Amino acid sequence: MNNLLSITGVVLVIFALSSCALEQEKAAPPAKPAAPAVAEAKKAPPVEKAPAAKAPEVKAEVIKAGGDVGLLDLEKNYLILVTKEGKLITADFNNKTKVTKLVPQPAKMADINLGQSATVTYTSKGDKKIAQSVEYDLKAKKGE
Amino acid sequence: MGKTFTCIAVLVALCIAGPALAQEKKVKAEKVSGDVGLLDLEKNYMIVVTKEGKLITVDFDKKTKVTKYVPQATKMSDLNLGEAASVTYKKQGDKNILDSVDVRVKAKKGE
Repeated sequence: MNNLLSITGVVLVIFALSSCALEQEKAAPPAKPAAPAVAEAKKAPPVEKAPAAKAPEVKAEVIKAGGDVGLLDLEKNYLILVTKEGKLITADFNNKTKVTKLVPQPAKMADINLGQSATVTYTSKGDKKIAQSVEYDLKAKKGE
Repeated sequence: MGKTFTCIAVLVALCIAGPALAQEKKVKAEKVSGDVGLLDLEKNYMIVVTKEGKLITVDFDKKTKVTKYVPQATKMSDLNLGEAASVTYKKQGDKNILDSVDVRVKAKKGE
């Protein structure tokens, strides 16, 4: 009788231990996907670092325009320029805006330097062009 | 009756042709801008090189009026509406910020 009890006890203990082992084995597989997640987490930082290294800021392009002053608001500090094509350009100004007026003065042909930009008005007579007027801009000296 | 009709026809023809002939006689002034590539003060001619690289030879004489535009610092409040201006500006967001404004003062008649 004692033998029967001890055998039954041993069988129960073995069954209990083996069932625990089987439970652990079943629970193990879900743990596997966790590993790649960790790996991804490790890989992630370099991806985040990439945007941190921003591309060098593009310098604001200087745009030139010509036309007539259509509106000048000295309180709101802006003007509207009307181009030859009829386009309206609104631009703000501040204390840093350099304002220059080009004052006409009589000159001689001998005053003109080579390479100087000039506007010539002429009339054609036969195969010759006769200049009526020559206008040129003197460049402002540095610091002026 | 026939003579009267002929006279009227001739007058009408003259009225139409007269202004047309006068227009033909008017020499059209042309403008060219560019860099002075050559200036011969002995032979009285100059060559203007346009932006497109075209060379334009122009003769000048004593009647040719030469004007230089001298830059002078001024204020925004000195600008007048309708004045010809050359500006440089930069785009900052949706705004244009002026760097410089050059205004060409018109030459007075006789200057």
